[in-house]
Amino acid sequence: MPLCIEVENLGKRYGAQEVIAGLNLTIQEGERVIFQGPSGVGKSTFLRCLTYLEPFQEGHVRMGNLTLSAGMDERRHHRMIIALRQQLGFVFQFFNLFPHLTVLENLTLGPVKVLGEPHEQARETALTLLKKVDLLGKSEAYPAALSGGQQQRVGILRALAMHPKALLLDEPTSSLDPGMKQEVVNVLDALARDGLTLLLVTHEPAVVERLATRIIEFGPRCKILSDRLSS
Amino acid sequence: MNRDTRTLLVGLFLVSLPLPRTLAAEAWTRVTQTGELRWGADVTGGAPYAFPDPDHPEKIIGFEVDIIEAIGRQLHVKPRLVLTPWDQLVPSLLRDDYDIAFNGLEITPDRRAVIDFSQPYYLFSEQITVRQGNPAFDSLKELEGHRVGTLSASLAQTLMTQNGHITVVPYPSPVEIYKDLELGRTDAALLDLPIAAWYAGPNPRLANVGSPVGEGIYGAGMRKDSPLLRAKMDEAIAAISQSGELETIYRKWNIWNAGQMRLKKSLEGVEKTSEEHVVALYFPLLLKGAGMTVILSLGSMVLAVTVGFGLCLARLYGGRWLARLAGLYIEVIRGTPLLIQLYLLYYGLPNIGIQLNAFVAAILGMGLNYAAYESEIYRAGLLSIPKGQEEAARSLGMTQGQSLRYVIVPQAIRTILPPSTNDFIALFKDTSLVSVITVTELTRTYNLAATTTYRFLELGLVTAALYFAMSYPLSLWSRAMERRRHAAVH
Repeated sequence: MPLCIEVENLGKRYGAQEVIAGLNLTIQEGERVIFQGPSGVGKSTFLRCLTYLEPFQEGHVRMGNLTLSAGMDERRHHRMIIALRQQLGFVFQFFNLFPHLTVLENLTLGPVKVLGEPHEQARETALTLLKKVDLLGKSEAYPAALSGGQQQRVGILRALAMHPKALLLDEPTSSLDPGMKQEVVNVLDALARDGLTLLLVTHEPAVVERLATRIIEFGPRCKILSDRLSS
Repeated sequence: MNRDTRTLLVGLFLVSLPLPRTLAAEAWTRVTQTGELRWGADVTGGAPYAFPDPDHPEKIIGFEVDIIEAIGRQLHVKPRLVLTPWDQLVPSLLRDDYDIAFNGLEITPDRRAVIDFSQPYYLFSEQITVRQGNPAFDSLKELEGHRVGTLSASLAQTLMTQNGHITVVPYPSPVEIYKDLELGRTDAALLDLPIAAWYAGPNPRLANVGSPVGEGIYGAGMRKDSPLLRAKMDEAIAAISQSGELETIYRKWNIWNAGQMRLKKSLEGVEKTSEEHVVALYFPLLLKGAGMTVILSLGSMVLAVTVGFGLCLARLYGGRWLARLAGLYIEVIRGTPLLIQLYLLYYGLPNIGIQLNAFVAAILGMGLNYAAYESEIYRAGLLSIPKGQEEAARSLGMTQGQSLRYVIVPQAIRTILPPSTNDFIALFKDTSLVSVITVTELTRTYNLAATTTYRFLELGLVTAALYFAMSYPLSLWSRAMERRRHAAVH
């Protein structure tokens, strides 16, 4: 299996407080990795470091021929960082949809402005994605008019519209009601069947059960306590 | 006292003036203060209007001299003649060399565009003159094909040029016109009736013939910023017309005719400038001032928005030094009075060789001042957008610029617009401050009008109403926007 993401000696501090201490990890293409551990051990921070949403002070993150190194300046190395962000889609706990744009516009903004896709093409892709998750009828709606589950599905599609190699999901269902959680899990399940690489921070047993191919347990400062394959 | 101290003292003196100079103010104010009415006229070849008395050349006489003295008696002021070449009558008036241009100045639409006119005091026609014994021409038509002398830039010249078939011979003054006619160099002369009556009438070798051609009216010319003087002149002219004094003058100079009867009738309608009319008199000027206020507000706001946004970006994203500089600018500007900033720009900068005209200084002063306030509104607006929005934009691979442009600013605008509009309303009213650097906007116009007429209350209410009429729609708009913002689902 080809190499997907390689994390080498990753170190992250907030001032004097060490959040991640020398983490080494390799994730293969097609894996669906669940990160678990008590709250406050730095799981979310770790995920955000992978696309440099959080800068880190030590180590590297590699993906193909792209390398993020500690202390990179976001402005100076923005080509490298942007290329990596395009490959690693990010899904937020609280969706962070753009409230001033319609669902369709939320999905086409990135492809058109960042990837330079023609507007028509981005629109076609977006409509195909919306159809897959049964939200075609909401394409002209604004995020505020959607339920939480619908919003998170749009959040996932927004990341997918950038044609990423993997998705990073930071507690994607923890702010949703049980019924809505199911909607989102179904979507993730479909993505899994398509073979997309997923990195999830979550505590939901349902998610773990349905999706995980590998479960990593973090202790304080993101020390790996256990790393096991799951069926 | 060395030079620097003197400069400083002069500067302080200027700054201490409550309203620097009453330049270009209502002429009537000056007239009443000095007790003299300065009138501009050309006396060379000026008979019978105003010309040196042949017996006592140091004395200027003429029917216009008689009229202006009668007007002076009406207004309780002493006329003082200011000599000016005739073709410079209007430019010199605009330069404030005198208060009225009073020298056979025909009321025409072209001139009306530049200056104001009093009620007409004389109705004139053009008079044909020929050599005694020659065939008489009765009309403009009969002059066709002939050489006809006249004054350059006169109504007669225009009439004949329009006809197209008359060979017009223009002269600078009337004496030569009649001389050349006598000598046979021209076939006829066409001139304003008073001139023909004076120069050709007594000459046995010339004859005034035919019916009057064309018609025009003389009026006193005044600057447009002096409606009160105009009203006083109207009043005086009507008064001496109705009292018969004007008729006596015209009969004395032998230029009374049926036309003047008609003029007298038309002057019956002119009312005395009663105090109630003061507001109506100044309303057009106040409107013009309001126009200037609008232009100033818009210009300053465009500057404030542009510079304000730049300051805000510098402060939020400009790196340490730019951010500090922007912060310092904002603190200094907000911590000093706008009035002082305006004085420094307009009266202070010339000391180091930078001379701004009042309009530019006003726009710069207002714009740069409000930029500081605007930038803080923008900063608050941008900061009010949740951090997750920028993170989402960055996670899609957007640069900071793209994230601002497509995600942050469009959302922040809803937060920014209401306070920004309120700021604009405040700026709009603050433009009244620039009246101290001689920009004639609404407040300064009011000040000039009120100090002339002492009608501070009426004019003040009208001025306030004008401000309100302009700012209220804006404030309604701002409130509507705020409502929409609250109604918007988040």
